[in-house]
Amino acid sequence: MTSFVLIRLLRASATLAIVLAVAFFVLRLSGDAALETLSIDAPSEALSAFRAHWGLDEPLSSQFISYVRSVLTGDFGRSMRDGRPAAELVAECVPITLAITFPALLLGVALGAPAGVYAALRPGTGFDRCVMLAAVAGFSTPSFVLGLVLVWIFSVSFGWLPSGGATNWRHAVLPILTLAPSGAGTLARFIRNAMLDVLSQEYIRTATAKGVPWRRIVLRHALPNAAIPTVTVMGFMIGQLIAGSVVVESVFSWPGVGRLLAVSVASRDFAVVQCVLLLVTLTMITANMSVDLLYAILDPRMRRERATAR
Amino acid sequence: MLVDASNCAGGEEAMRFEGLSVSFGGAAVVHDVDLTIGRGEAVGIIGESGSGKSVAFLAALGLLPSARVSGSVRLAMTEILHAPRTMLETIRGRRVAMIFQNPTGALNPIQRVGTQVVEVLRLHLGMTEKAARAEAKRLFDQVRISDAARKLESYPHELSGGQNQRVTIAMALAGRPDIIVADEPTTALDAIVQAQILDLLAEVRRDAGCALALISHDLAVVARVCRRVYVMHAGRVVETAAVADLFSAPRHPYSRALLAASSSLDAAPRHGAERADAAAAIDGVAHGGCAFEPRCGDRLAECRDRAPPLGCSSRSSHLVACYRGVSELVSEAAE
Repeated sequence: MTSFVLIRLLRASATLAIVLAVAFFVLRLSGDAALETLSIDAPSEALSAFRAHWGLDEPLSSQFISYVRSVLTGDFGRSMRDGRPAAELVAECVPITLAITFPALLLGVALGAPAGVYAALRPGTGFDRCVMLAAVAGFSTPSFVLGLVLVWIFSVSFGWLPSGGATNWRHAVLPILTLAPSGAGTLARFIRNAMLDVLSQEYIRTATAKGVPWRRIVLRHALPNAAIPTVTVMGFMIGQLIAGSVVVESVFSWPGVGRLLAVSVASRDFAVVQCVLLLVTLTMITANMSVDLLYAILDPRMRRERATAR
Repeated sequence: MLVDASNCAGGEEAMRFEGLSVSFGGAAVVHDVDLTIGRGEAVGIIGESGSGKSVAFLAALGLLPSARVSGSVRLAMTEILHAPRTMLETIRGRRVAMIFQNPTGALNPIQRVGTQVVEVLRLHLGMTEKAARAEAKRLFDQVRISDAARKLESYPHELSGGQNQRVTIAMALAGRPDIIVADEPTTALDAIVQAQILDLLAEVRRDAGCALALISHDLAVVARVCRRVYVMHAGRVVETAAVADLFSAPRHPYSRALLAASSSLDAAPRHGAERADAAAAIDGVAHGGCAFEPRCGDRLAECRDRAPPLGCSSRSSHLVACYRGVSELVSEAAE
């Protein structure tokens, strides 16, 4: 078990290193921070002073070495736009993003999971078809389209809710309603298929043949088995808590990590972008590792594979 | 000298099918099957795959929700066909228990095997958790699972196929049923384990005093455990007799073919030919005559016009659905 965790940690650090290196070079090769931050009309002395101040006139390789050195000591650099530490800027945005992504995740699970289970218990019925239609609509509608439609209905037509900003809870309602359907739809479809698969298994027939009441078969035999593959999807959804709302935050001018990322990429604010990417990669890795752990808790067959692998 | 089938079998009944027919989306799979299993009796049901032997029993217990089922299925005096679900739930596992072909697939992979036996005991016998665990351990000992106390805590993937089949037998015994239906219980196991499981089935059946319906494609399996046998072909019972009579004097040409197949070592190449014949048998059903007529070497003119009913001589419990077979039985009885 310890070697398993060790291997996973090594793999995770390798992933982090690759993401950081790729981001570092792609960002620097794809645009000039001085031009993007100051202006295309800025005098050339100002531009070269800017480059000298941020060390951009040095060769890329030495820039990279000093970047790695500072990251390893916990220094993620400063924002070129306002000079504040990048980590501080990002840390401020995280709770703001979670304020919409976490309720959206809960809402998605609350809607999607029961809908998927009920649809699987009545396959081919009108209810099943309605759920699947809604699910496909939910995860295939682009969030900027859904966001604009919601703004049009709730802000423009009825004037019930604000269309942007973040001063009180009312501002969070539309972003949450925009984010939730894709999670709900994905989950509903996935759980329905997992349940249908499990319900056709021989052990469900055995349970029926030994006189287990249908309700108990669903709750005790089918659901725990269907939960195993569903954990993967849940892990993916949790991994998206930080990074999944870039578009929605831009549509609703919600000052979270997503909008910070969009603005920072546009102005080539290297330190901030890299800091956000680091955070996003970390959430993804953590989510994936929790999925593996949950798998082992839910499925005894995984425990054994792990034991023999050791 | 044809006698109605129901008059030929007597005694107290654990289970009785009358005119049981099953169809899927208009395609009939089981036709008008009459079958009785006496109290404490071990009865074999044999036939090739697709002959409807498993389907008949699954349908009888309401385990085929997509099938159209008609006729009558009685347990002692209770009609259970089309019974309400809540009533079936008190019958399944309690009065009729089932054992399936693939033991590992038949067990919930993420529940400990002990828990799955305990579930039956708590549901049907209303035992407390503690009493049920003790009883489960006793059942594991009874089906000779070594180190029973520890095996109760195992998951199905940690046990062999043979051990898992012992678990499902313990699970079947747990509800103290009147009849156990074993559907190809040894087909998925290797030869030595097969024999052990069959002997175990025979033994626990005797000890528990319950009836057994042993469904198999293998005559040798049935002969090892059962005294009476039904031969099914293309969804019908074509012959029923004491195992000894069937072995010594099979009257239906299909029974003879089955006997020949199980005793010949080069059964494998024949098997392909039998499958082709099974397709021809469906044509036989289409023309309304005996389903075996297309592959029968001794066919008569009437075989194609009308399917022969099950018939017997008045003094025998040997029934056969064959014009030639019945006249053989009758002339034998007259001697």
